[in-house]
Amino acid sequence: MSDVTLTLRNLSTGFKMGGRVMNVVREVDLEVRKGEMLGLIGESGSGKTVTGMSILRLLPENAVTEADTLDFLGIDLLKLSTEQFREMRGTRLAMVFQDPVGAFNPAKKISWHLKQVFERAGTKSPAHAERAKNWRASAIKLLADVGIPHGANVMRQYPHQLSGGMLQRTLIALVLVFEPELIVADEPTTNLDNIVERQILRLFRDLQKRLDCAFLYVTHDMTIAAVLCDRIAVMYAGSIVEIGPTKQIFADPKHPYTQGLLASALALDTKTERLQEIPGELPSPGKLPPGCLFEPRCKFAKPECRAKEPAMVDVGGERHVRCVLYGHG
Amino acid sequence: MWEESATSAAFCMAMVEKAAQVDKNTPLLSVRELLVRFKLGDGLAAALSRGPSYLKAVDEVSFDVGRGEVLGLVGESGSGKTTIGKAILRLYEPQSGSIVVNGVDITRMGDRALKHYRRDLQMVFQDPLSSLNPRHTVRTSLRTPLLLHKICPSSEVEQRIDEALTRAGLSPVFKPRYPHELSGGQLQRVAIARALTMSPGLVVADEPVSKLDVSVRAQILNLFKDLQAKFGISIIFITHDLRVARYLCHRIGVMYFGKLVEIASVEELFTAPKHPYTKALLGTLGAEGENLDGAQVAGEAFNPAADTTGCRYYARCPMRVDHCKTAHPPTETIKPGHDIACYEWRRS
Ligand SMILES: Nc1ncnc2c1ncn2[C@@H]1O[C@H](COP(=O)(O)OP(=O)(O)OP(=O)(O)O)[C@@H](O)[C@H]1O
Ligand SMILES: Nc1ncnc2c1ncn2[C@@H]1O[C@H](COP(=O)(O)OP(=O)(O)OP(=O)(O)O)[C@@H](O)[C@H]1O
Ligand code: SF4
Ligand code: SF4
Ligand SMILES: [Mg+2]
Ligand SMILES: [Mg+2]
Repeated sequence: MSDVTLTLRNLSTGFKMGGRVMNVVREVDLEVRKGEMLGLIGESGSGKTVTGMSILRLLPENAVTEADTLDFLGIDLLKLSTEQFREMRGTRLAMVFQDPVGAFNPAKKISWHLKQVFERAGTKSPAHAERAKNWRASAIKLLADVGIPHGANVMRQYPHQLSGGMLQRTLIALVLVFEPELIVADEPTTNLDNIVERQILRLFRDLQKRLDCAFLYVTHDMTIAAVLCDRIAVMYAGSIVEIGPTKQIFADPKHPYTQGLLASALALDTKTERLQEIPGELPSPGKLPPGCLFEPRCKFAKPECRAKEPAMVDVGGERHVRCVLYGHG
Repeated sequence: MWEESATSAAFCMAMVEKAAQVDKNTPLLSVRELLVRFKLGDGLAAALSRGPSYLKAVDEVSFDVGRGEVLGLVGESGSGKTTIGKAILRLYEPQSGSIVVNGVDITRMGDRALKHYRRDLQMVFQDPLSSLNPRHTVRTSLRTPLLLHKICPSSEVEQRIDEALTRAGLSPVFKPRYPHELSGGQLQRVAIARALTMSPGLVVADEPVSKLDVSVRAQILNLFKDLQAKFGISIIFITHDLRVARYLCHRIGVMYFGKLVEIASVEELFTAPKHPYTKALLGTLGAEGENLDGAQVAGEAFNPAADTTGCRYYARCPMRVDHCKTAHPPTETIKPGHDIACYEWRRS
């Protein structure tokens, strides 16, 4: 068997709006290896969540997803029926949502959610079956692992009675019950204080090491990306503009957008009067500029950048950049 | 702090008659001994344990916010930060304590009188998706409060919406969209724009930049800074990102399980933190926080439902002594503007 958990080739997703399809994710190629944390970073609205939801078939009716390849551990996800896919979602590939509120049934207590999940996971392995039998004790232990020490109290509460961060941790606990082979984690630790956050990250790391679990890890936090991820993919306006090993990207960002992003991130580490922004904004969907999408905001832009969208260029050392400064691919 | 409270109470009596002029030295907001509790559980468990049990989400918290001041609230997840914000907006009813705005006590004010203050107090909610009506477009969500409070002539409403969105870093092309058609960060900017269209005197901003990429975050933080500097808006800025707090805030309050355990100016808090929890939080910053190993665990913590005596931080505190088990420490002012609740702060 290969050591790749997920292979994406030429994934595009759009939404039908006012009679036409507006693409918000365009021709994305990604590979997440076994036991790897692949970080996905980039401008708000650039398509990170939609990429994750496309993989897990979680998008609404008006979404249109196309891909050449969508392979999960040798299984061609494109060929699975809705029913077959539903069997796998949650158990083998799972998503921790950016917005935990929507993932819960507001009319049911936390204990109900946990019970359901433990029972569903019970068929996965003898260890899972054992945990399902003692689901209440297992749940309390798991909640403690995600930094909720008094799980018995929390289990009696309804989702709206938990703080933002407690709900987020409960959602993480629900996902961890299955020990899935791939987790798409969409900003899983926003809303958590640093101490709890670190605890959760250690839990992810443990899952990754112990079970070879692969992560597609969406984050805005560059410190987390730096300590947690093996490789980083940078997204801009629906495209991957740079991808490579974490250390190299942080030490020597190649794409002008990545450079701006990292400069903005570093600004908060030093005492400044005013933070540096990348001037301009993301092009609105439906009104993309010709050529390089970053051109209107790029300080290195030259006429050829407007001619056509730059191709991904292999710059060596497992690094790829979509920018004419590094050649034409 | 106590004398101040007494005088402002007397002051606020006078204000009921003469609400218009307020002394510049009166803080814009004074929160005193605020206690907000929630009923915990129900049914059998509650019946067996002699009556309902309560969770004190905010437990006798006092602080001021000055005019044009940015007060940061940081601390443990679930420590009561959002609850404080919602209580100030009177979205939760406090059990006891007082909330005084511009010298006027609004703690028990009726809805009609409160309408006047509602406009002046705005909140950017932690979870924008559930704070925006899913059946309303961005335009409708922004227009409704403008019309309700007659903020501007109806002919100018559209222009005002565009301005607010643009200032919040979002193009007006998103106006016809519904909440579920926006990304997390786009929604968060809609929520910020909506609060700002009202020209409030005080904004409670609950994790307003946590879902934004670093460049947009810089833009929003700069915007908050400008609003404060140009228009003297006061801001309660709830965040878990200590670096963000350091950049924007004048003072920072640290919460732990319903208690405000330390409050001080930014410089003081970052250079001379006294409370063991504050120190643990700050310890996650910078070089030593860069790796995941050896960091402390939040596991063994105070049980807000069962433990009622002793310092809230006792179970995790590396400095605890037997005495700390007797009662939660009272708040002491150790320097002007620096308050702390810890028996052993002199040892730090
Ligand atoms: N259901 C939908 N209908 C139409 N457009 C949508 C829908 N969902 C998302 N979009 C648009 O698709 C684009 C990508 O959104 P996505 O949520 O993937 O961004 P993101 O990179 O996750 O951003 P953030 O960091 O803010 O969460 C955005 O411009 C968004 O407005
Ligand atoms: N409506 C409610 N009913 C019952 N309990 C509640 C309610 N709202 C909050 N709580 C409880 O009050 C405590 C404080 O919650 P709050 O949301 O204020 O925390 P927070 O400091 O904002 O946390 P976070 O950083 O995770 O957002 C938590 O234990 C929470 O479960
Ligand atoms: S292709 Fe041109 S415009 Fe685009 S990022 Fe590179 S230099 Fe800038
Ligand atoms: S009062 Fe005691 S237990 Fe509480 S923080 Fe101070 S030293 Fe620690
Ligand atoms: Mg997103
Ligand atoms: Mg909160």
